[in-house]
Amino acid sequence: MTNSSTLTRLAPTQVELEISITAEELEAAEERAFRKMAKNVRLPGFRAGKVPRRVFEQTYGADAISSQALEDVVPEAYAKAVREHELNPVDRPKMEMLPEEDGKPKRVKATVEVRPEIELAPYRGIELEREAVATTDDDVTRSIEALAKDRATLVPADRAAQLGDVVTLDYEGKIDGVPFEGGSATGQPTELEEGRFIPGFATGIAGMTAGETKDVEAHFPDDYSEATLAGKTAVFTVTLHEVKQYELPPIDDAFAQAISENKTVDELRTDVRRRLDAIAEGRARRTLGNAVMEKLLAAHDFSLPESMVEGEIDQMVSDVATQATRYGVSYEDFLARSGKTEAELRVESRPAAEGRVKATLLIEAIAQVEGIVATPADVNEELASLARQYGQPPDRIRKALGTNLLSLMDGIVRNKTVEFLVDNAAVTVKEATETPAS
Amino acid sequence: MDARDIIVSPRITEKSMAAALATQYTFVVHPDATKTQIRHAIEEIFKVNVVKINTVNSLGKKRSFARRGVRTSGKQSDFKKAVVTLKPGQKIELGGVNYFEQ
Repeated sequence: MTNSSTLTRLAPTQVELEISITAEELEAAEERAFRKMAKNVRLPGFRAGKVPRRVFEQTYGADAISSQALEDVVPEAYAKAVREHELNPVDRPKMEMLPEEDGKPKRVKATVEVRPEIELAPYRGIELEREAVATTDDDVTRSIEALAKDRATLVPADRAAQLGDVVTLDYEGKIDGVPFEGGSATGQPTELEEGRFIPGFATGIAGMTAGETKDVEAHFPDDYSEATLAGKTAVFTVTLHEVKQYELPPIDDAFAQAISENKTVDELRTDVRRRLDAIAEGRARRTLGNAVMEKLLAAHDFSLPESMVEGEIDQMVSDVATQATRYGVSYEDFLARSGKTEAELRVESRPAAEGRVKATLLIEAIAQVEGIVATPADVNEELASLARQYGQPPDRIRKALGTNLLSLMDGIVRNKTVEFLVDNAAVTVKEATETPAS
Repeated sequence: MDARDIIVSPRITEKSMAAALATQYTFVVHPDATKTQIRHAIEEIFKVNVVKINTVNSLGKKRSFARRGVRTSGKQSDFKKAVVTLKPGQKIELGGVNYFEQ
């Protein structure tokens, strides 16, 4: 059984296969198709499955058999041609029968998008810079203080309010002398923190004493979420009722024992330092991973299969829709609010989608060269971590995933490849700047 | 009776298809037709030589139906079957169509 096919490259990611199917092949396929169909056919005078082909054709027409035969033989021939030319199709082929010529085999034209051939640029020893992980004593102290604050008690303070205090207050806000919605409250206990209010509000209150009433001017930022208020200046009439301050528990061995398994403050400090280091290290590795991908993407240039890009855009648009619904906005409303049509959204999403597709293809290519695969052990580990996350047995997670297990494996390969790239990169450590407080 | 009134139709069944391999062709014929009449009719229509004829009167089966609680009974049609043995090597074809071809 031989069939031959010729390959024409229409575009870097699109090929056209012309597959011919020989008469013998077709005959064999017709025979098989007939046997299959005859099984379910009952004609008077014959038991099921015993109808002679001749009688079958008289009843149902010879076309019934040949079209079924083609349906069987074409995908088979197509799969064979794909193997023969070592193609990597990314979607389903578009098939077309070519006009028949007498005495020649039947020919089928299949157009399909394939993965581009990627010429890998060197991906080992990519030069990267990273910041040294340096957790300072201050960082440790600060995060222990944050821990202490969770156990702090509020005590009334007989002094003027300061930032960081908890105050009870009434306020009425007006813009140009007119009260606005959401601008008033009474008897509200609030923590005075600059970031929690619009600029000027908290600092304006600081310095007031209990029982005092004062006008505080505050300015809505230009990008404020409520468009009617953005950029406006409001005057709040604030009456302060009570000032309370946090009293932190003393940081001693007893505190260390209460909040952790550590016995002494020193042990607590080392423990906290280790955790901060781990967080910083993780963050640094993620940054490195992103950086290495960025460099690799810039170093490669190949064409992307349009259907993959379209698929990615579909995915992004539906993500946006899901997110909108999560915030209680229908997708249509969301579009209306952002003043975009779906078509515009798709156009906007394109560059990002192309980047993702490119990264995916690149990672696949590298993983293939390096033989990076998701081993059963990797999969089990991932399942176990998902199981912990959802509090369910791993077996059930596996079942729930079903065919999504494949994309889980893709994810594992992806992560392992990025890890591999980072491990093989030439990383220079930049002098430590201060690690941001966690 | 005319030859084409005597021979009603070829009878295509598993059994008759098998018999055709041994140059025995089966037909449904007029219930009153005799073997001699059938022989002449076959020879006239298909231009072949008949060696032997076996006939069977096949009586229709009784069937009973129940519709809206009323039982009625009926009967499948009777027919006469003739198995015609031809001279070896001859075959039966009509207008280029051989109904007994496998």
